[in-house]
Amino acid sequence: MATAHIVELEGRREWENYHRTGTSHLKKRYGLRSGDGGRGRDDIAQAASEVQKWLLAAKEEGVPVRPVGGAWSLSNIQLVQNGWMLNTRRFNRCFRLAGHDFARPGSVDPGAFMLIEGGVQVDEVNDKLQEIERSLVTTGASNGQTFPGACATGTHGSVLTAGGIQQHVRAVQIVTPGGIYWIEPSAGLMSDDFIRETGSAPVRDDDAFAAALVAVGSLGIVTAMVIESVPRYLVRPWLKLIDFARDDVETLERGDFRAFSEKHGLKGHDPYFVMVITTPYRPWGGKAVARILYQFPYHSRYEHVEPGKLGAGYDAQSMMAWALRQFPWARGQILQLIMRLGVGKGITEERYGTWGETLESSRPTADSFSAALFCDRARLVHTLEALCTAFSRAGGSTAVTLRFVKGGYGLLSPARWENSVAIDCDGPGGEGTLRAYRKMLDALERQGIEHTLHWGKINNLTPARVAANYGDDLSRWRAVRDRLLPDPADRRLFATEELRAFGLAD
Amino acid sequence: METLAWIVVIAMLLGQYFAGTADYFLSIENPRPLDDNITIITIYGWGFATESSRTHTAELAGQGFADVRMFATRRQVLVSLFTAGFVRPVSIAWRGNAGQHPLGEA
Ligand SMILES: Cc1cc2nc3c(=O)[nH]c(=O)nc-3n(C[C@H](O)[C@H](O)[C@H](O)COP(=O)(O)OP(=O)(O)OC[C@H]3O[C@@H](n4cnc5c(N)ncnc54)[C@H](O)[C@@H]3O)c2cc1C
Repeated sequence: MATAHIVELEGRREWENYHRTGTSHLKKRYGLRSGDGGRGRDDIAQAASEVQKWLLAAKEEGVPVRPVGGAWSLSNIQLVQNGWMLNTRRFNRCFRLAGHDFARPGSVDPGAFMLIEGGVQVDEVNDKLQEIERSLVTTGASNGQTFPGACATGTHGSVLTAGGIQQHVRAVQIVTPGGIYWIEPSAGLMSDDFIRETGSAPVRDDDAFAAALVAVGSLGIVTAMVIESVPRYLVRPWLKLIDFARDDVETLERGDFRAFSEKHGLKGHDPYFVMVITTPYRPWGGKAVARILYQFPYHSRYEHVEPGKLGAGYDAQSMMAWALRQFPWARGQILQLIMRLGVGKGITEERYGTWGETLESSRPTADSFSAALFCDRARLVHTLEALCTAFSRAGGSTAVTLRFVKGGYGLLSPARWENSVAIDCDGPGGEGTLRAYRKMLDALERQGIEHTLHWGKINNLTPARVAANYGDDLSRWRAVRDRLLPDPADRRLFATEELRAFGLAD
Repeated sequence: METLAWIVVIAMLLGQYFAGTADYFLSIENPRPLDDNITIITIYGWGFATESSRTHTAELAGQGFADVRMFATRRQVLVSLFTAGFVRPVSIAWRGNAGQHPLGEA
């Protein structure tokens, strides 16, 4: 029986991330692999010990390292230059937990929790939860990220009552050259024996846990997580081209999603998820695509249909990729038109699926542009107007998507307002779009419009901007980092150009 | 009449050009892909020179494919058009599968 191990995949080479937004000039590329049997805690203990040895070897060689998950981040935070890369995607087993694994067995339902390895993709988590009749509450629009990679940037969807995907995490195992840590909130979750058997030292500390939830790949290598799920449920999708008026944006700003849904969606139901895709040159007063999901109790008597028929892929990024594959020459208004035509009749008939069934993995598209800005929902009209005016004036012509996220769940969660809105700009890549986006961000800054940016997407972050956005939370995050990585040489191991640009690495 | 013929010829060429860049995609259910790899395979002489010497082997023993994509870039289609199809390069992108494990016990 093979145990968890690291294999050297190849020597010096150039490696590109998923959307080819950046290249790593690697000294070596490694893969972390799961063992093929045995208990989860043993596999994780073995992997963590292998990862620690690997980190120490890198430190001795004086090369920086970088774990890579799905490699989906367009901000190039999974790149490393002249260093070693650790691909985690074959370290991907999931495990059930038992009552005696917990510190207070009587007070938790062990069936609600799952232990996952550090390279498990979101798609895999959905499938495994489905097997045990459970579900995630929220995810991003696609499912090919790894769970730790998605948490690293605070990946979010648009479930109205939910924060980022990291809201499911209850414990994190992180490996540094100096230690293997099991990080939980101060109230504790897992038993001392369980933690010891995973080869880790317990860190029961609220700040450390909040820092580890959105770690931006800067606190060490995540080898395992315990996540909490909810009983499985069904969603009914509603997808339609709507006449999107300023009144609608005001309704969304007030958080009156029911009223928005009564007007544009299924009558008589509270929406679970609301997303609107519009354009920068006419954010309202024209047509927009609305995707609304309604939650229903699970039953087995529904007809299973493909994710596409449940509206998977009807997010701006996937639609844009689809449109560009069919019509590679399309740009600007033509591209927007094609995307809208792609919605066709939409989905209004009765169809159901589980959360996992509504998602699919997108295909890589080179030269795509994807950026997301977060703001206070209470300032939505003003922010959207300012963003679209400045962006379209500067020549930006991507789709503009509104998604709603609850704030919190991590010191560095970019959703910093209790009710946050993510405004995504997704479209074809190119210098023009990038320039327009940066000009728009400068304009928002000049106008004093408060916002934060997605760690994993195109941004203009600098240490000063990050410090201004996160204030005391950043100081607390840094204090945790310095506790987990007290040796400056260990911190340098995880430092990359991109993370230095965020002020998260020395 | 002649103009019409030209329009038809140009439409045929343009049609070939756009269709040439189309993307054929085949995926297993739950692909869980590893990194993307691209191989360019060039076929000469309208397919006469496609014997085993030009067959490529993906380094995926024991893993299997998650998905395969076949397409030609605009440049590759132009090469094909200008050589009247004698040189026909195509790009084959493929991703390995990360493996599917059963749900285990912690
Ligand atoms: C097609 C597409 C759709 C997307 N949809 C959404 C969306 O709906 N909502 C949204 O918010 N975002 C979305 N994103 C952004 C994406 O979710 C984030 O960039 C996410 O962080 C990517 O996860 P990943 O596993 O690919 O991580 P990577 O890009 O591989 O890595 C992200 C960071 O995490 C670090 N990391 C990865 N694994 C580990 C580990 N085991 N331990 C420690 N650090 C680690 C990396 O070093 C890097 O710094 C999308 C991106 C794409 C390309």
